[in-house]
Amino acid sequence: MLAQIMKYEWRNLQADRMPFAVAAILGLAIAYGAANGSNWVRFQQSNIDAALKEQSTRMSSIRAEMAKLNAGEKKVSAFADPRLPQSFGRNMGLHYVVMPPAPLGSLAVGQSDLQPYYFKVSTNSKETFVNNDEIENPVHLLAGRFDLAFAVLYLFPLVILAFSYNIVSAEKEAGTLALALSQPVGLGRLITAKVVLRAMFVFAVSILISVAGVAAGGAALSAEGALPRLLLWVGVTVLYGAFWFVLAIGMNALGRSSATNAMVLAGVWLLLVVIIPAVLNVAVKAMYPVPSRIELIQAIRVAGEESTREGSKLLARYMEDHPEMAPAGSSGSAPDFGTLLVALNDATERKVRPVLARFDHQLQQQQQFVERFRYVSPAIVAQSAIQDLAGSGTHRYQHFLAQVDAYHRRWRDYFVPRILRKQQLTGSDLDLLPQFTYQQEDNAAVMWRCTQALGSLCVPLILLGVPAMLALRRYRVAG
Amino acid sequence: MMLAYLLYFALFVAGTLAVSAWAPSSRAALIVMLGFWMFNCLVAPRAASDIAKTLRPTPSAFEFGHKVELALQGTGHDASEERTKRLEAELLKKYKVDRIEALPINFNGARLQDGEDHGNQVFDDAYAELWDIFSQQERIHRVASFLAPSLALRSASMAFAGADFSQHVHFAKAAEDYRRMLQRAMNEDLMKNASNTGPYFAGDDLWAKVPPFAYTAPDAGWVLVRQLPSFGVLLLWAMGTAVMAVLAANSGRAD
Repeated sequence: MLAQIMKYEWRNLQADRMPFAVAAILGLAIAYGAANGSNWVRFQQSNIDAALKEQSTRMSSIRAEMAKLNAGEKKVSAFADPRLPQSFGRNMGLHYVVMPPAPLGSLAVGQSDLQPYYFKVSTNSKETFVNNDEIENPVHLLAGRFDLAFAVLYLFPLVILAFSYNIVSAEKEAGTLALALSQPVGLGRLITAKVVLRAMFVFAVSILISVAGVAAGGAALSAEGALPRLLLWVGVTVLYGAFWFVLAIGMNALGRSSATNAMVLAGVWLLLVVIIPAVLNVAVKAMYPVPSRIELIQAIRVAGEESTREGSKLLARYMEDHPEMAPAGSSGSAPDFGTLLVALNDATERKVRPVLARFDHQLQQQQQFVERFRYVSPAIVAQSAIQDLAGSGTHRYQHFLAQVDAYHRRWRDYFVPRILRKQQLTGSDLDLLPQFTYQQEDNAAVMWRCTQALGSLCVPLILLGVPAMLALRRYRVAG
Repeated sequence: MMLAYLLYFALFVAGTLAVSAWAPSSRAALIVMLGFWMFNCLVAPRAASDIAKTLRPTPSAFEFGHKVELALQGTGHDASEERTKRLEAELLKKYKVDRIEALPINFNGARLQDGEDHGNQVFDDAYAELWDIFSQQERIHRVASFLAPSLALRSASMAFAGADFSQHVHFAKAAEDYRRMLQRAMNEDLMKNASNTGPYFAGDDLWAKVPPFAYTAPDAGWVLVRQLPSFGVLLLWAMGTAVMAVLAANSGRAD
């Protein structure tokens, strides 16, 4: 019976070309979004490759330079001598830490165009190397990306609403509803058939084109955890879409005219997809403002001045504590400079720590606030889940930053003792330099977070679905 | 700015009128207008950015930084050690002396200013190129605004709020000029007063001589001239939709 209604409904849809035109536009938008996301992933990858290539050419030329200097074929100032650990560790031999795009990175650009995905780590304090944002015309950053997530979060619901805003009201207005219900079929079953058919069509178009687009864009679907993530993405998309279908059914159950339905549904879309996320964003920034960059720069300056004043004192203390590191005489033309820098970095970090801690704290508060209030709009739930799956959200980035911190410590722990001991680096020391390997985020944690998101997408479905069903029972077919 | 918004609202009013007179049903009219709004406000800004970036790609931060770094280090004839040697030879020749210690000016001051000049040149070239790309991208946005008037309105409203890119560049240039003036004052003082043999300490009076940074933001005329194209586009849209509305109203039938 259901199948038969769906068959006739399909013919009905075919007679009206509008739905197909709308679906075609959605398909194009999705394909374009997927291509755009893939381009962004490739852009990131090519920058990472270029950075690592630059590093390896630099390292070979440093080795060559060291050999020349050791052989006495060349003389350079202390600043340009790669054998001095302070020169090597502070500017000449810097190593990149990179966060490669995640396997499904093309699903959503997310925050990844605002957050640096590679850093050049040095023995200096962290603040000196964490500000290498990607260059972009600010107008483009303002507009945001036309990526797959945009197509799914913004356009996909509109297409669903276009397919379903008059699912019952149009039949009633045309007088066909009473006719159809004079057959041995209930209103519930009729609506189910109509909705299931439309949902199958819209979901098939969206998901097939998305997956094909992402795969064609070179996503590493065979990578560990990629397929389960893709399945979760399908789940999020389907539940998000289902929400909009149920919303349309609920609106139709109220028995208003098609025009009213369209207006109200378009208004709800505007509210849930555009206005609430924007308001939440403004609210969270007003409630938990982060310290400005100026404040950070001031703290660094103050630390710098104090350390310059107290430099010799700090140095004297160092030497008291580490008599074994006292200079043995004539190594390098700037004997105290490296040590002073160590002391300066130390002091800077101490001064900057409270500002950074406040920054982190506020950021954490912001995140908690958003996590708590994201349930006000399924668009926010779906967005954060999609970004999580694409690896362009907050969690993966925090995970990367923690690794950057750890590597920075290792880099320092390697160089600082050598700087204090005024120990020259040799070629074999270069083989022992701390190496950075990006550790993937725990897959199970991502899965768990996204499964929770799936669960919370079900809540509005039930909250809307049950009253809609009740209202449909009282639906006045005529009059 | 109010005029820009008035034109923008007017084009929506007239456009809606025209569409609703022409459309076969209110459903069709609603869909057309919602579709236009979607395109104009959500799709066009993103799509225009993509098109602008495809036609005039922004360099990656890595590419840009690496290029600047290489240019700063200089190669061959331009390498910093070469430049120092050249400067030394030039100064010795100019003052007809045979060693740095005999120069009547401080060599370190001259060397610092020389390095500064070199750096300025490198940064000027690099940023001129980058900002040229941004302004070409802006021109592409402007062309796109013939299709999506929200782009013209966005440009005008950012400009009149003093928050657009051209005013950022205006400020950045003023700040950089100030920095260069400061740097030059310090280096010239060093050249003039420091000896080539012993240490030199400047007094507070040197800093007192440096004027504080004073910035005058561009006035409304400056902004207006730059925003004339946006007004043109909005006016064109408002007039176009008004003509359409009148035609549609006249051809309307009461049935």
